[in-house]
Amino acid sequence: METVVTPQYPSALKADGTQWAWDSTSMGWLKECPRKYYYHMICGYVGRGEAIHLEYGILYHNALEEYEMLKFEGLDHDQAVKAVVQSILTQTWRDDKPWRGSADLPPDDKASLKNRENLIRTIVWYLYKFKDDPAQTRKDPNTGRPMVELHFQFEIEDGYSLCGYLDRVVEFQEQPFVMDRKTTTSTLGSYYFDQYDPDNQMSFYSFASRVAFKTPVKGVIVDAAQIAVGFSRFVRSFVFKTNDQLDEWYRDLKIFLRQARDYAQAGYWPQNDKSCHKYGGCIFRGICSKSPSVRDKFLESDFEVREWNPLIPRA
Amino acid sequence: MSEISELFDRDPLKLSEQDIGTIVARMREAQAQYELGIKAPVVPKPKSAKAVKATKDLLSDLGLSGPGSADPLDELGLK
Repeated sequence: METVVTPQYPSALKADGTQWAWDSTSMGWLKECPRKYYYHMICGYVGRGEAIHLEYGILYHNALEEYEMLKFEGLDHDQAVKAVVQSILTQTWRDDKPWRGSADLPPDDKASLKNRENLIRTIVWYLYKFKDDPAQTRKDPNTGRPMVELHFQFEIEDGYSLCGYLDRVVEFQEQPFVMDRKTTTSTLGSYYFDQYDPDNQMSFYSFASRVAFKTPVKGVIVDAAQIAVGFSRFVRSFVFKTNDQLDEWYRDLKIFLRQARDYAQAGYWPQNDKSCHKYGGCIFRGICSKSPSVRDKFLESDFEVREWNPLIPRA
Repeated sequence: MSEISELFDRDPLKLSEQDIGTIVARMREAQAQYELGIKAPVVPKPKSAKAVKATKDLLSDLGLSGPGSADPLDELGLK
């Protein structure tokens, strides 16, 4: 299988297929199942329609970041909200028509809730609900700018780097936290939040904040937005991380990095068949359940190829 | 077609500041309605002290309350 690359950015993969730049997404795939990691990261397969969740999340993040920056530049709440709405409407006007207009989407598909109108509603409702947010965005001590959408990339050891984005670093009750924003169509109950503690992404971000931004946070505030028919709902939950927990996570990470290197050098990524039905069911479950000789044909017809490169900045 | 749907179907670069204000205002009205809806849930009226005492007396008569037992009202889902 040839590695897919976007020419203007360096590849996160070396020529032998060993990944040297890791983000929480690719590490999560590896931990879940080496074969899943292979299909997503090495081959670049994504399910048709899967990319919408990523794009929707990026638009939501962009809007909240823009609001933060406009407030920093001196606009009041109402002015900043209107400017953000105008901006997102423009970003979602494509080929002279609305992108994911609700009228153009199948009503029986849950993913249709992630439509343009609901995106704008969720942004407006969120910004109003947290107009006087008790979690205050930290300012960068060097630039004085709000610590939002922070890109990080730092070397650890043996030539490996960790990279990614922190949505926001905040001060909550005089304690620093990373805030991670999520959009979901799931109900925001304990079942939803349990998935984040323990969780690779939460540890990854807490570790990154400690190393890249010299901000030893207490953990991550998961700031979730539920998008439903007729309403958007917001719930926050805390994931606390001690230094000992982060040291343990890092120790384990190095073991996984060695495993990934061994898989790449062997050119073989084994299935973890105890993960297939977890997390709502792996997207490649239908592929792995088929005989190896016919899998490629099904992959080509059911999936599209879109490189996942942790080194490409968010749009 | 509603006012807001019509605005959503227009090229955003041709929307006026007032149009954007209308979108935000309609969204906020919907949010206020939603919040009113969830902030006023139907809650059962609390039992009066007299009714609670009567229930406790009845449980006592039935031998359902005694030393060391948990709150019988709670156990029976009457609280």
